[in-house]
This record gives sequence, structure tokens and C-alpha cells, in this order.
Amino acid sequence: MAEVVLDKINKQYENGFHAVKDLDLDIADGEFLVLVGPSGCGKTTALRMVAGLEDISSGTMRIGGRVVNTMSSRDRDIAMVFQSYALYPHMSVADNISYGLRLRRMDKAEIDRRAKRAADMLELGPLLDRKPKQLSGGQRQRVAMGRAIVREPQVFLMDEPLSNLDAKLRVQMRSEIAQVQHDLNVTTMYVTHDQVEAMTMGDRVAVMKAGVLQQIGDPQHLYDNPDNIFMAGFIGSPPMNMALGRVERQGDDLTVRLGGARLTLAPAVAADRPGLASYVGRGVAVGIRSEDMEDARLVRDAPAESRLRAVITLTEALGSAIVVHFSIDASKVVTQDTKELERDAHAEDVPHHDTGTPFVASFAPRSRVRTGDDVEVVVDTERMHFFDPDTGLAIRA
Amino acid sequence: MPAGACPTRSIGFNTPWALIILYLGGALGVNTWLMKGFFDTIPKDLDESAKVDGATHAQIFFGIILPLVAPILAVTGLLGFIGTINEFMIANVFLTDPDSKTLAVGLYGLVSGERNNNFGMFAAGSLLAAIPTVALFQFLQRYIVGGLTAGAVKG
Repeated sequence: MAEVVLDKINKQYENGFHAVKDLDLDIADGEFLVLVGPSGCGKTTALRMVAGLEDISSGTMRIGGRVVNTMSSRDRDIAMVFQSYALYPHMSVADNISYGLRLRRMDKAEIDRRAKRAADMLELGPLLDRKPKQLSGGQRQRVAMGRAIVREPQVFLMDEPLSNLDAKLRVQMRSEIAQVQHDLNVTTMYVTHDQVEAMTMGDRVAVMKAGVLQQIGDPQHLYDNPDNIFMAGFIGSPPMNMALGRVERQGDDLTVRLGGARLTLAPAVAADRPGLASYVGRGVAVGIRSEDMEDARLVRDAPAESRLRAVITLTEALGSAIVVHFSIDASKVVTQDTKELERDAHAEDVPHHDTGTPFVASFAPRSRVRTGDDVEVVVDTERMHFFDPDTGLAIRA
Repeated sequence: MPAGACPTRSIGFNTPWALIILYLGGALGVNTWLMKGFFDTIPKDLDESAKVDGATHAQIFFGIILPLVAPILAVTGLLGFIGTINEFMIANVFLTDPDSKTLAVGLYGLVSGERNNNFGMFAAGSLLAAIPTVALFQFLQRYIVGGLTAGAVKG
């Protein structure tokens, strides 16, 4: 069948740059695997190695059970959709779609049958005689997909196909691609830097950073259980809030001191994270997602030990939620991971006005907070994340 | 048999092959450099896309790249033709025998004498010499267009 197996794949360029480091990836037959990460993390290089457009420095690559390290692209039975579409400009849409089949000298009737099927699937019927320059961006993207579909390959490879489309079109094409892949059940490897695409489209998501695979799993699992600070900050929008806190023991309970506030962890929560006990008296990186904080006035019976006090600096009404910004007087978490996240968000040069750490919370829309209000914020302590501030790893066992 | 010419000799003075090889020496270098710039404008993605689609190196070159660089091929061909048909200096040196002279050298010969210059014939000959060039222009003009790669890639 058509599994793709990357076994300790490495890519090192002549100038010494190590783009992909010991990548182990198993894509099951028919699976939609998304490879996501900040720019420069090596995901496109990995994809191009699967396609045969880059040489593999070391490691073994298998497609459908065959070792393909030295096999040329045309023999690997793969089809690729490029970020820039790469349509042949001097050919019509119909010719573009059937190019690969004509090269293989396929029977004309078969070519026509496959081309028609792809055109119907992607609604390209009325466009078949046009040239690429007469098509819109979305139409060109669909032609590129049609070209890949007619080949009926073992594996689809997609290199950020949606990044050149505007936002609304992107949302629509996202579901189209997912639908097509589901209908055809072809193994797909999809590269993107957009974590929303990754979460919505992938059966499993693999996150890479600086050439190293960070974590792989289904989207919800990655969201709920990030293995390190980078994973925590990368997956999820708005990104997880992080600050340095101290773990203390109060009687039988563990508490976390975050700036001026002290949050008590319920026994069940502490039991879920047995490793936290060894951090008593030490600093930990605390992560809280914006949806795990709520306006205290909207929460009944919120215990005092799960509240923070803060002054709202900014509110953004989205309609479905109110996003509030405030500052916690705890120190920022600064590690290599957070620097990488900042670089990816293009936020390295943003000046920070106040001391303390900016937090973003997502309140229910019926909250009545306004900028400048002094509010109490309830934190869902069951969903707090803890990381070692030196290694960046999640504190669990 | 004219002096200095051997029936079995195909290269050397008074042979077309000599001129051809000489002109190639100059033209190949300059024209390659001229065309290289144009070839560089073809997006690399097209190459890779065709490669993954299953095309061999030759199929990519003749099927995808060449049709897209048609303008520069036409221009290079035209410039090469004009340069060659008008070339005088080298032809004059290498073609001493009247039977093997090129048009340019021959026309020069009509007006190079001291007394019996035939300006009428020269003028008529010059006009006729312009015809092939004009005809070639007419034929190649439709290939000299811009924006051939429009629509191929985003941008």
C-alpha cells in the first residue's frame, strides 16, 4: 500500500547548514499528515526530499514499501501541488491537467476519462480551454490540484498550496482539499506554516522546529498536551499565555504564585502532574490558554484561590467572544523556544511598555468589562500547563 | 579548377565551412550569454513540476522551456542572420576566390575598382540583399512577444 516512511532522514547542505535532523515519520496509507512549523524549520526540505527534488544526505525513505532514496521523481508515483501552482503557461487548462498522462503515453480514452473526473470534482469544466493567465488565483490552485489528481498517484505532496490565496478563499479551499483527499483516500503529506490549517485539515499533525520534529499526534492531542514550551506557544490562536511562577506547598495542596496572585491546584490536578511536586520552591513556566480564563463576575462560586486581579489594557469585541489584554506582574518566560516563537510571529522588535507579562484572555461575550477596569479573572486551574523553565519540557510525570 | 581550391577539401580558405566555424566561434559565446538571462526568467517551479509529472530532462527542455523562450530564440536567430549576411571583414580575408565569395564581399567588389565601378548593379544588389532579412523579420515577428510565462506562477 502507499505508506510513506522517513527513517532518520537528514539533509545537510555543502555550506554545513543542517536543515533536517534525524527525521522519523510514518505516514499510514490514506492518512492526511500535516507538517507544520515556523519558516526555516525544514518542513519544505523534508517534503522535497520525499518528492525527489532534493537529495537525501542520510537515512532511508520508503514509499509503498520500496526504498526510493535514489529513485527519480517520475518513478516514485507521487504528485505534487506547489505553493506557486507552477502551471504550464503555454498550455490550456485541459492540457495542463493531462500533461503527466500524455507523457506516459496513456490511452487517449483513459486520459479523457480521468481528466473529466478531475475537472468535475474541482468544477473546472467551463475553464478547460483557458490559459493559466486567464484564471484567478483560486482557479489556478484548483487546476494544480486537478493535475495532481489525474495521475492517481500513491502519494499527494502539497507545499503550502493555500498561502497565496486571500483569507476567505483559503477557508473555502481548505475544506475542498480535505474533501478531495477524503474522497480519494490517497496518502497525503501537506506542508504549511499556518497552524489553523494544520489543526483543521490533518488526521495527524507533525510540528517541526529548526530541523527537529517536536511532537506528532492528532490535532486535539497536540492542543491539550504540548510536550514543550515551543509546542505550547505554536499551536493555538491566540497563543498560550506564559509567565514564570513559583510552586509552593500550602498544607496538602500545591499552589502556584504568579506575580501577586496565588492559585491553588485542586488535589486531582496535582495528582495528574506528579512531577510538579519536585518543583516546590522552584520557578516553573506556567501556561494558561486564553479560553481557560473568564471574567469572575460571570462565574458562579469561583474560589478565591483561582483568581487573578488585573487592569484591562485593551478589549477586542469579536462578537463571539471578548478578547481582553492585561498585564501580570510575573516575569516573562524567555527561552530559546520563546525567542523562536517571537521570531515566527514577527514580534521580536515590538517594544514592551510595561513591566510584567502581557496576557490575553477570551471572555464570554456577555462580559461587561471595559478598558481600564480593574477585574478579577478566574483561571481554570485544571487546564494549566507547567514547563521546566530551563529545558522547556512539560512537567508531567 | 580555381587555384588554391581542392575538390575534396571542405575546410580552409574559400570554403563555406571555414566561415561557418569562424562565425560560430564568436556567436556561440555571445548568444549563449544573451539567452541565459532569458532562460533565467523561467520559474524553477515549472521545471520541478514537470519533473514530478514524469518528464525526462529532454522532454522538459523541448516541451516546456523552449516554447517559453521563443522570443529570445527568434531574436537571437534574427541577430545572427543579420550579422552573418552583412559580415564583411572576415569574409573578405578568407574568401579570395571569386567563385566562393559571399554577397557582402561580392557587392563590395562591384565598387572597389578604380575605374569601372558599376553603381547601378551595386544599388540593385544592395536592395536585393535586404529582402531575406525583411522576410525573416516578418516571419519571426509574432514570436517576439512579452509575458509568455504569465499565469505560470503566483506573482
